Amino acid sequence: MKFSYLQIPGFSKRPLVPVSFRFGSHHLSQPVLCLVDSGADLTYLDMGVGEELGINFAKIKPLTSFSINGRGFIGYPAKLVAEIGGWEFFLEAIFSRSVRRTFCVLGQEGLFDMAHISFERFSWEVEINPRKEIN
Amino acid sequence: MANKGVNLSSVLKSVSSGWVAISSDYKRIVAKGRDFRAVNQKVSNLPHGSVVLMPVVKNPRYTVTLILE
Repeated sequence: MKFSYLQIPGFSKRPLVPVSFRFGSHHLSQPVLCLVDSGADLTYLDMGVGEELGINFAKIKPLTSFSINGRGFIGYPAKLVAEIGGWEFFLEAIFSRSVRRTFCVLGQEGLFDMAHISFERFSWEVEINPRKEIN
Repeated sequence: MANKGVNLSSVLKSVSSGWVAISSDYKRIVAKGRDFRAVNQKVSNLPHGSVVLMPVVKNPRYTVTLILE
């Protein structure tokens, strides 16, 4: 499925796509706009998203990630289902308070293994489709 | 006609922080709140997919590339 790039004030146009998340029997009532980020190793989500999904972070061992400027931050990993364009993908996401002031991001590990992702910036579109050979 | 992407500049000009719920056609803000939970609860009774939730990001210098240790 193709998605148009979105222009956010102060930024260049970005490949932001609506994602519906599910954790066990809990699901968000509405999709969240996430940046498809080939520069991110993993998927990173706002801690509030995880709390609304009913994830008990007290039982999860935290880990440290680093942003491009080298600054470390704490996050909590959890596996969940991300539905994009009608397709479901099983991902591990890192939930962090540090994602609060930026976009939620869909990173390489997981989604980029399971989907064909084509950044067509020349036409301001990103296309995401599941890999038929593994689905 | 060539796709130019979707410009949210005018839609988002009235908000400076927090989270917003935008109609799925990206034309208007349906709800806004201090954090994800606040805005999510405001739109929980709407049909799924009628809005999308996003943070209001105002610092263009920040890059979101992230690396796992």
